[in-house]
Amino acid sequence: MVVMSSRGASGKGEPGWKQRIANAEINGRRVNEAIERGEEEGGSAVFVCECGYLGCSATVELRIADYEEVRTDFDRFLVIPGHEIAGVDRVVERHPEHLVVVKDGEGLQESLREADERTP
Amino acid sequence: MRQTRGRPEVAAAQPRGAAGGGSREDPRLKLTLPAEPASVPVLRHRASQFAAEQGVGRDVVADVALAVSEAVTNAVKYAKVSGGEGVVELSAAAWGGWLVVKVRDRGEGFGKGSSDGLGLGLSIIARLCADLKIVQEGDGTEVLMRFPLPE
Repeated sequence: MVVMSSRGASGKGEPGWKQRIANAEINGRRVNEAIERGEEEGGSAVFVCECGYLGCSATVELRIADYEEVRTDFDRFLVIPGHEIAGVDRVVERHPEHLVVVKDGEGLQESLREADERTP
Repeated sequence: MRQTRGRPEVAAAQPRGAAGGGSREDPRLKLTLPAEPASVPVLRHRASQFAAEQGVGRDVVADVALAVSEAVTNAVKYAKVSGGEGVVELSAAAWGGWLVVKVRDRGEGFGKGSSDGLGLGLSIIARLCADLKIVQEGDGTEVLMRFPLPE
């Protein structure tokens, strides 16, 4: 059983549960970027699920190139099927072992853009 | 390199608002221990104690304890993989409305093929803290976590 992240990820200004979930997903992506940096470009790696559930420890093995396909924009995240959160995540791609989700909402888009080191 | 094995270098936490040289300083903690399993509970305890001293709630203290455990465990694990004895550094400070906790090792960082298993501890940390940064440099990896301080 996984529990939705409802603490820890709360910043200043009471950002609300959607923002807290987004924070958890941003942090998950930073973990995957660190994992990716340790691997060879043509190889594969075990990536963590970037969902917003507190107890999630799911992983998925992907080629680095496939993870880069997920990371083509600041608001796209890698999650395991079934870990998308209604009202926050919109599934835009379905693959056998993983989904690509994006986040809707102007406020979330802003914070995701700011948090993405790849966005100029 | 400083020799720290068996002789941990400790800069003890200062009380909130302690004056230094006539100016107010933020509370901070710095501790360096050998990168070995026995260091995990020590650093977890010191980090959670420091968090409690900053007035954060029990939930956040527990989050800090678990996050530091996971970060230090990773540091110990990869110090072993690197074949060196190594050290792990814990630092924490209360600053700008945040409790900032850093765990740094001086191993080789995440080597090739190390992703299997590595992500699990970091995945837990990602869900416990408000903000996570992972910096990998030639001489080690730094995991920087931020937790909210009470208003």
